[in-house]
Amino acid sequence: MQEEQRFWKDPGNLVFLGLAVLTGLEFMIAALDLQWWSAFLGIGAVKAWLVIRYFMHFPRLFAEEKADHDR
Amino acid sequence: MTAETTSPQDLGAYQEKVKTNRLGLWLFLLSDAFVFGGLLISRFYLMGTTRPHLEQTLGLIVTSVLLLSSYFMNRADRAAARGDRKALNRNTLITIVLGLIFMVGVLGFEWRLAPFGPADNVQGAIFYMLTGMHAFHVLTGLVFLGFVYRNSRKGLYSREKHWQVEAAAIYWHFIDVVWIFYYPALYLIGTPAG
Repeated sequence: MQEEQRFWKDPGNLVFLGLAVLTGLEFMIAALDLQWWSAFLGIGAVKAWLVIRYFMHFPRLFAEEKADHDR
Repeated sequence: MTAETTSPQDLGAYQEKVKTNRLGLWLFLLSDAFVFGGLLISRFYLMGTTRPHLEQTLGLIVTSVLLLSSYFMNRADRAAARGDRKALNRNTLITIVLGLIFMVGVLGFEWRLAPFGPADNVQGAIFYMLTGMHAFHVLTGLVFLGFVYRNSRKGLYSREKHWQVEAAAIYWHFIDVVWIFYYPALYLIGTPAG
């Protein structure tokens, strides 16, 4: 139970799940031949934002260094 | 992680250097993004509402592998930040393995299964140029990760000093971001070209 709670509290896990779900959604839209070009663009933008914000730590570019040890 | 202790003055100087290095890395990635962006625009300019005729399942598999590698690279980065060398080594190695699987998937399978060559038609030119450029970056990323793995095993990184790990992670995630746009552009958007 505690392990499960830890899993959901980990931002890395949540981001990965989000990426997986969005990728699956993209695939389904294409498989159904819906031709929703704006959906692909929007999903791609959200996925890119998730990676840039949480994996690439873009905000660190503007943050003070002393916050690094609190990651 | 290592027995080395860092004085506050050394740490301050190191952190200032990291700030500059980080800015430099992001500026490099921005310039690289223009290259990938230009290729992406050329895909839509030359192929319009059609896309290359590719194996969809394989595309989804290699995309999933790359996303998974990004997940483990993030774990490696965070392990370095908390000084966990074992976790850093393990997750870096997993990332390298997944990156190699991605390369095999694209270069070994996708390139062989594609029903066109690079000089046959617009499909071929676009497909091989986009995936080839991306694969080259994956290859350099793997070389970078190889150095990080080797240095980590030697105990060269600490909780306070692990810029190389962070830099490798940022570069690896950048490659993932490029594929986030390349995957739908090549595999999903538009109708397969005849």
